[in-house]
Amino acid sequence: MIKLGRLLPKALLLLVLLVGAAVTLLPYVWMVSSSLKTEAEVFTAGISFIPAHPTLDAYSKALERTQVARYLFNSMFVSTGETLLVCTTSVLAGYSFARLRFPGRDLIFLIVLGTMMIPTQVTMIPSFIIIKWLGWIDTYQGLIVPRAVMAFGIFLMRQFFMTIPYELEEAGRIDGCNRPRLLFQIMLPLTGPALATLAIFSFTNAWNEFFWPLIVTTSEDVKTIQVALATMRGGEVVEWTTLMATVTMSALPTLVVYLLLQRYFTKGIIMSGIKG
Amino acid sequence: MSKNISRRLARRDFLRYALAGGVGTGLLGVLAACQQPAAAPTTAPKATEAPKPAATTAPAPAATTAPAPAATAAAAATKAPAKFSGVTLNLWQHWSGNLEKVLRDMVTEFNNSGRGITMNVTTVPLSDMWTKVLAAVAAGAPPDSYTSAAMVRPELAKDRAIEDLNKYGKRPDLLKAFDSPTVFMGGWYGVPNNGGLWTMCYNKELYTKAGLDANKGPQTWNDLVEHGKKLTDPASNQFGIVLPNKPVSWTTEVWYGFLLEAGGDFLTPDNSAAAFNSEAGVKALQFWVDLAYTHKVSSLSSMDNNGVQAAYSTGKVGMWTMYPVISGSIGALNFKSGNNPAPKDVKQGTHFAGTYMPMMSGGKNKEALWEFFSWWMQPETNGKWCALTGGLPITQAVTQTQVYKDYLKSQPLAQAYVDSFDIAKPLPLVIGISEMEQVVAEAIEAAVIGKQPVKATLDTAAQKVNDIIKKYKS
Repeated sequence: MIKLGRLLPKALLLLVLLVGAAVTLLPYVWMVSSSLKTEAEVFTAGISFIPAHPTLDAYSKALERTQVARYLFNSMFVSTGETLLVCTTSVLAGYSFARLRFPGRDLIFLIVLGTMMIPTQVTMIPSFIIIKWLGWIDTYQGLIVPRAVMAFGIFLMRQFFMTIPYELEEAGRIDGCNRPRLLFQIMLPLTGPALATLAIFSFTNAWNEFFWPLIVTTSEDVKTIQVALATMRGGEVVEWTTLMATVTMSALPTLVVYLLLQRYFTKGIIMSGIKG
Repeated sequence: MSKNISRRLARRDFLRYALAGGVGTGLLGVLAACQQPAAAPTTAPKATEAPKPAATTAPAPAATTAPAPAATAAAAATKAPAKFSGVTLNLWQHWSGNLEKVLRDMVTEFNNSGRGITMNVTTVPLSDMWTKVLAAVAAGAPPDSYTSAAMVRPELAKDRAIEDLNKYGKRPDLLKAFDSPTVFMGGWYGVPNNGGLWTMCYNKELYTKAGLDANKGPQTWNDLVEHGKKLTDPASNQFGIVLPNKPVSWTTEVWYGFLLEAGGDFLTPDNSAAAFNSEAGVKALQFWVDLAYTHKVSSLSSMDNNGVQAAYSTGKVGMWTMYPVISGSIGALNFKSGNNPAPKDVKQGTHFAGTYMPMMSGGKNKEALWEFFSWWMQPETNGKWCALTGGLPITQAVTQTQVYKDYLKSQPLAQAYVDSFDIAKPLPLVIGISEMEQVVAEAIEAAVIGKQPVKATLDTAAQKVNDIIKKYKS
């Protein structure tokens, strides 16, 4: 009786989690299933997850008509480049705001934080004009460089640096460390979890970015996957199977990265308090 | 010891990252290996094959029907003298799927025709085209042209961001319906890329099952109700008709056809005030409400253009309003469809839409772009586009081309569009029309889904539309 009393809550919890998992996975199963159907079967009334006549036609159509591999490479390249730059600038700025003393430090930090309140749309046109002056329209640098600094990243790293005891730095100084060495050899190795959080946050942000790539890209060569997917969904005629096949293919790289780095991803979510 | 452990862990991490990188690169490599060039040459067609509709599930029409290689050869044989050399143009277009493929294939033919012009085509999502164009114009980096859905944007004409094409050459004898979406303050601001209007498409199999004549769809509003009643079966979630009701421009455009049929219009003849809240307007919107609540023949699910198409495609809907570029997908479904001009009330009417290509003032190669436009408007070129996509011909001459005649023979759904030319009318080309369409779409949703009183809802919408007109006049 006591055993049952203990097991019941666990069983209920498990049931709730199973239902939650099923609800979360259902759209993905539907996506893959639709990508293997014919266009006519997609619209068959009623729910069927298993295609009556499985076909890879949608995949060959997607590969023939669009440059999926190119779009995926572009997204990967831009997201990686952006993440590296964001981590670099956030570490440098975060350390400066946390440890260096200079006039107006806190005011400048507040101004940096204040930029988080300005909607992207407001800065879009001025940024675009600068990019045009630089001749960077439809280039990778045009996509990456304007996103190289992230106020949230600076804030996150500053807060993390502030939690590291001063004694560690002082010990390094006594041993003759200069400032850059202090940062890169003593402080930076201690920021691993925060940096991983920032990297994951920045990468997913860059991967999902739509508006800036939409404005800056003008050719298929540097178009990112998000913009490409929108072109397939946004027309008057939507080929659902081709769209689902493209979405399935575009999900694969992120799925692989997630499976391999899920430990850090979970840690990152816990640390940054990001949900959903 | 702890150092050793951390080193071992670091090595594991390194291997893990390397594996992640390897798998990722491998995946991209496999995809890249499978990748075909976007505008790959099409296979040779059978000479005797008739053109087929632009079916989305069937093999791409260009591969089966288009005289692509033949046309390329012909084009090469009659190459225009090269007036230009090394000119590159940019066209932003919104078509996806088969239509995008056809457009790209045709542009490749143009690029290979020895004119010395290369047109680069970039696909932009339809819903974001205007944002992108505005940003590009503001930054002084517009494309040479883009596809403007439904009509040319009069805002651009007013601000001289697009060119009056009359300065560049003679306008061909375009069918009358193409005038209004492109002519603004006496200037001609866009070349038709595609023409469209809605007709009443119906499921022939459901018609037969319901004891109706499968060769004759609804001719009048009364037929719509009577046929709808016979086709509706609540037990199997089957509806007589689906109509869009989401607050998007598509909803307004379909309803606009009903407004015309009831004898009304969107604005007053001088475009100075709203006219859709007239007696005819109330009748047209009340008809939609009655279809849902009194006759119980239309679905109340919230639907946009994709929603109504998807609903009809399930085979559980009797009738819906269809535009030409969708005919191909509908023709390829598991059941047969019929197509009629829009059913009439006091008269016949339907919304005329289309897609138009303006010439951006910021473009650097306007003469070359005009050369492209001239090629696009040639009867043979346009006939081919229409045959491969289901689009409407832009001139009378196009209807006489063999490729279009063959298309009409092979695509039974297409004749209804041709028969509807004379009753189709576009929305007025006035500044702020998109905002007005949005206001009316919201009113339709409020009346049909929200059960708000029809007259009061339309009056409120009319007030808002009048405010929009005033705003842009001042």
